Amino acid sequence: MTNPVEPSRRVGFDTWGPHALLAVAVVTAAGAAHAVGMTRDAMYAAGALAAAAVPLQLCLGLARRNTPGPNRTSAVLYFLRWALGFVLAWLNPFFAFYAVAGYYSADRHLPRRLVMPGLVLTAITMAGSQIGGLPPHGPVSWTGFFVVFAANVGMVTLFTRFARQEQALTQGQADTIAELERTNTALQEALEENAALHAQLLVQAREAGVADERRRLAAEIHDTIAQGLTGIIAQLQVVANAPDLDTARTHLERASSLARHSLGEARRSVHNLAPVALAADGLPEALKKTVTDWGERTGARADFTVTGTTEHLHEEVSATLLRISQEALSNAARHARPTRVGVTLSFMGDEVTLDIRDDGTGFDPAAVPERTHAGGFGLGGMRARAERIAGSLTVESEPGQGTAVSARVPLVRDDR
Amino acid sequence: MTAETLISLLIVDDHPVVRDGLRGMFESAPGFRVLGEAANGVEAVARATALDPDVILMDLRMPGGSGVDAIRELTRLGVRARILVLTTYDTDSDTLPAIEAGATGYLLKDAPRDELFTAVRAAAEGRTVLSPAVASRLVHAVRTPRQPGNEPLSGREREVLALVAKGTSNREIARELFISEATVKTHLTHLYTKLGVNDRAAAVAVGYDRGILG
Repeated sequence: MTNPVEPSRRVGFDTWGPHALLAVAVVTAAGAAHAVGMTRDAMYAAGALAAAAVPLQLCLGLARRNTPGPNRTSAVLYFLRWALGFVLAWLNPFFAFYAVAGYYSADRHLPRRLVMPGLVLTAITMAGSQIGGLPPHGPVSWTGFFVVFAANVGMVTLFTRFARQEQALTQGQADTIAELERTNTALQEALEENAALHAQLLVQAREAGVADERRRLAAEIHDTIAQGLTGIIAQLQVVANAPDLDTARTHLERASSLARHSLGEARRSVHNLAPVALAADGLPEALKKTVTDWGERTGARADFTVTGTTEHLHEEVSATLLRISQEALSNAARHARPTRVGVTLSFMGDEVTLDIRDDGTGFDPAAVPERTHAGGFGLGGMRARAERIAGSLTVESEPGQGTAVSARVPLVRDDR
Repeated sequence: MTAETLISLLIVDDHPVVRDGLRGMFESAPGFRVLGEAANGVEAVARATALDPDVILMDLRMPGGSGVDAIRELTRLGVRARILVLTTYDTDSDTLPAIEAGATGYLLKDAPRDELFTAVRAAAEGRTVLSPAVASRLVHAVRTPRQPGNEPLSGREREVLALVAKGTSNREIARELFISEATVKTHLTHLYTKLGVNDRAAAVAVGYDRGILG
């Protein structure tokens, strides 16, 4: 991307600068006309040439507007303007104000190879003016001319080099920015493609999972239920043709036991389909999580303690205790406004107790309606759950003294 | 069994074979009378209010009205009947909502005859029907009683004994350990058994003797 950006301010100066410089040159030259010893003819000539400079400059502007960048027309016009400036400066050194335009517009009007010659020519005009006017008179004046000319050329070369370096740097920066933009676009595209791929991968994984599960189910149905049913049919066919009651009874019992076995297998495979979090974590872990979450939610201090030797409880016992603790904690949060809650799970050989104690407002247990036939929720529901597994539930509370809910259930081990 | 103690039943299941089997089982046994059958939850509510049975045997998964909805509706209507859920799977997701909706208990569909009869009788008398999975294991546990002897005290039991030795009351022990008084008493019962004593004073004495205290 090579698109050197020209600041609009610079364009404005290019258009109007030479006119302004010409005006300054005309005014100063006219003021100094007698001082520099201009003849009347020279004054007329200078006036005519200065007048000619205006359309020349306009032509130069037009040439640049029609074809941006240096071209043959602009180069010809540049040298014409130089010639004009040289003659004017010869007639009156103050026209150097006008001639100086050659310095800053050379790189704009001239092709690259002509820039240095253009600048050197301009330096001749400038050096001439700087020593007080052309031509130099005598060897001292000539020496001065060459020294000043050399200094002009040196400075012009130096500044030109600086300007080119700066332009290269600017171009480099512009290129870097463009490159960054391209990279950004590419990155964005890559990200989008990546997201699409990821989504596709998820779909494939899910489909693969579903397919796997179907295959597993099909295999299980074949291995358990279908085999069992085949066996049952075989046994029942024997019963249909049985010669005596004893034979029939024996085969009926076999059929019945086969059916029971198959049902057990079916239960197990359904169970595997929906693994309970509790089974994976065990009751203490599940309780700990429940208590921690409750503490974070309510902002109250919540401790969980296990005492005795931890054992893996039967799923129904674990589920019951977990539900009771959730219910009790939710009651505490709703009614008691406690600053502290303690949940304690105690393993005691052949039984387990779960205590949920808080330091909240408490209540009068006698004022709470006893368990209704409906079972339902709240204290009644908790008690019903505990009794379902041959356990009991106690509630201890007094207004202002906090509440302790205690479930005491038999320790039934998980023997699966 | 006299006519007064005859237990009337309503059988709710979407499978005619299962209804037929259950009806046959109960009609062949003394003390039960099957008043009717229903094939879904909606029908069950209508039949239950019309027939007023003692016990309803209720399936949970049925097309055209689930068992849990029917139980909830019957509870709301204040129907006298006790509801026993008959289910194929003993998973929480099925049975807990049924219990919460007001069912007295649940049984597995392949429960042996005697277990089924016992559960129905218990339900009719308003007794708790134990979870079948737990009940069978409890029976097993009762058959193999633990030997009371010189079992070591658990950490918590030692804590309780130490507080007892300081003359702390159950109520204060409960406050100290931030547990219920009921559990403190349970700890004491276990502790007494392990130490072979009957009261606090003896427990403290044996505690010192065995070097558990002090």
